[in-house]
Amino acid sequence: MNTLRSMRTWLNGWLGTWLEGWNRFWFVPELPHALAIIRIGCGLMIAYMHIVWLSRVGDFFGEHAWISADASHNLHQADWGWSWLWYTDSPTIAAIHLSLTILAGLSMAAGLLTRIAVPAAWLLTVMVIHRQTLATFGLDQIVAMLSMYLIFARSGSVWSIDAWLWRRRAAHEQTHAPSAKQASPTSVQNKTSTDFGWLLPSPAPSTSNRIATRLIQLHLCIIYLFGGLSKMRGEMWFDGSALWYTIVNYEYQSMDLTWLGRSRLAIASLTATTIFWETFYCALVWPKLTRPIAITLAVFVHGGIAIGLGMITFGAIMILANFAFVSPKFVQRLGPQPD
Amino acid sequence: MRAANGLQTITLKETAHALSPGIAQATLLGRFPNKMWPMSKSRSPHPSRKKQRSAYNESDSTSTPQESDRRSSDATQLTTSPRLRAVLSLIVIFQLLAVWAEPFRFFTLSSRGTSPASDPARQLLSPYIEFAFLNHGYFFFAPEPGPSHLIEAKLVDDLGKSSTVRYPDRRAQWPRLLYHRHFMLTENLHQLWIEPFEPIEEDISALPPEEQNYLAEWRSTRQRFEMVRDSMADHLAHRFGANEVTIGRIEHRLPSDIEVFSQHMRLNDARLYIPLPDSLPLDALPPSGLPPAQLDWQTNPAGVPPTGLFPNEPIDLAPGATEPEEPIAEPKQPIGDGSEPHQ
Repeated sequence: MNTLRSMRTWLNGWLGTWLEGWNRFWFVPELPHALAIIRIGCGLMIAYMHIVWLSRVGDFFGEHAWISADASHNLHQADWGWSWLWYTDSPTIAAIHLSLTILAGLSMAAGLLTRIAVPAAWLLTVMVIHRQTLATFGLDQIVAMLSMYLIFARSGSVWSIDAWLWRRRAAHEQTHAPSAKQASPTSVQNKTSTDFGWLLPSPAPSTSNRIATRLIQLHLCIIYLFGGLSKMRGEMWFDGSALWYTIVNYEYQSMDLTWLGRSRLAIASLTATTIFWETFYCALVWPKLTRPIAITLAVFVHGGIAIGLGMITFGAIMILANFAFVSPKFVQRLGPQPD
Repeated sequence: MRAANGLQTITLKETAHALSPGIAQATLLGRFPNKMWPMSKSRSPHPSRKKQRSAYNESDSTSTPQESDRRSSDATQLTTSPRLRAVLSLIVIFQLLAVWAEPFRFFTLSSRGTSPASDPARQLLSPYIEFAFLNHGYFFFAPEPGPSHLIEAKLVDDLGKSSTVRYPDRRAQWPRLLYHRHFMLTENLHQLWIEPFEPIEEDISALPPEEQNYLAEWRSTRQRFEMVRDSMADHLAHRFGANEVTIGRIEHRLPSDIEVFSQHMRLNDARLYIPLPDSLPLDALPPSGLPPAQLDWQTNPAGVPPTGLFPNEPIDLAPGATEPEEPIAEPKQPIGDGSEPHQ
């Protein structure tokens, strides 16, 4: 009986430790500043992507589009992807859709009605993605991912028009407070955690920020893990030649880096670094000691992709996504402070 | 709504039971001793409880005093109720499962299909995964960096004059993102390609059911390729005012370092562009019974025509690749997945 009791005690303690860790990981309120950076970058990227679509709206959404609406619909017959853009080949309607998406992206970046702008930007972007399935790539995947998680965060509560409106309202309420009690230091402090309705959340740390941050972090870890594991199915990433065959891809190339190939050692070392970093990112990025290394390598790899392989947008959005691992307090200190 | 209905039937209580009868249910529903859910709203921000919590933290022998202090301080910041945390926990587990399911399934793809371990979650969550655009394998430049695939369209106008146009073209498509969109179109057209093939037997219904299914799948895959190719041809005909458009696929082989440095071959050297035929000679066709998704690897490991098709062209495999002794199924993104092979 004693053994059973001690086992039960041990099990309870073990589960308790797990639950404590789980709570700490997911539910400790967090500041919104790192997410605000992601919101601004992602909003601008959504606006840019759709400006590019809009510039060739006839070519991609018209009656004689590269992939007709019917063909696009047909490609999704066996899955649950859906887009209302399958049911029209009118460039005007598509242009309205794209213009709304651009507005939503800009509004998201500026933090104007963020609570509405972010879900709208996500939904409108996903509609375009399902319509243009064959023309999408990693950029679309990451933009959809980031904007989806931002829906649940209070990323618009700092460095935004919403934040300015929130401060104005807080100041107004304080000024017009009828009693002296409301103007006490305690009430001023409490005011920083007051939400003015759903639209204007306070910039105080919140659980929703924490959950959104964690989901972005874990999603990134899964992306890198499978990116690394998938490379292990080939030989070039092991024999050190993969980087060479990446930089000599003319269709990707935006900067001639073939001179790197004069040193096979350099190419092989960079190849090995890439595959090790990508595979073990999910482990290296969590401890504080190794996090700067993992993030710095991410900046170098994605910066290299942006500059050398012509995918500036993809490289930029991946670097932006890595902001999820930067402490919000650190970001807060770097950014502008409210008056 | 098959999967959605399945999910709706799982209640919080049932999930708690399934996780671990008794303990899990109690913890998820917030009935555990207070130390399990430090600083819940319903239980005790009372100072006297702090002692219990710190005693609990001290039991963690691996923690330094500073870590214990931090944890304790973190724990006291929890602002959500245990019940809400339980619900949110289920939501994040659902989300993580959805994010994990597709790359895991894709990673397990081999010549024998996918791992049975990867299928249930992927199938159950498919409505959400596919609508939310989470169906990606994340095979960036994997398993190897491969050649690029372009299209060359032959345009014939009303007077019978012909011209050709090649996509993508980074001088014609600007900004770079627009160029990349065109590049993805041509790459994905190649990914959709499958050999046109008709069975020799006229009476298909006489074939065994598995071969009938196989042929139906083959036809459907080929029809998808033709549908996309024809849509592109229609676009080009309209854009250039052509009467007739024929689209051909071109592979841009990657040069080795020896070719670049010793033979001074440029990256856009004409010898590196290899036209890919739509049909292969009959003897190059795979034996019947092979799933269509594996064909282009099986017959054509590097996407390069086999010896004899283009006698004047160098017959090379992809750089660094060797003829596989045993056919290995190249993971191929499912149609409509949205990922491309390189990026």
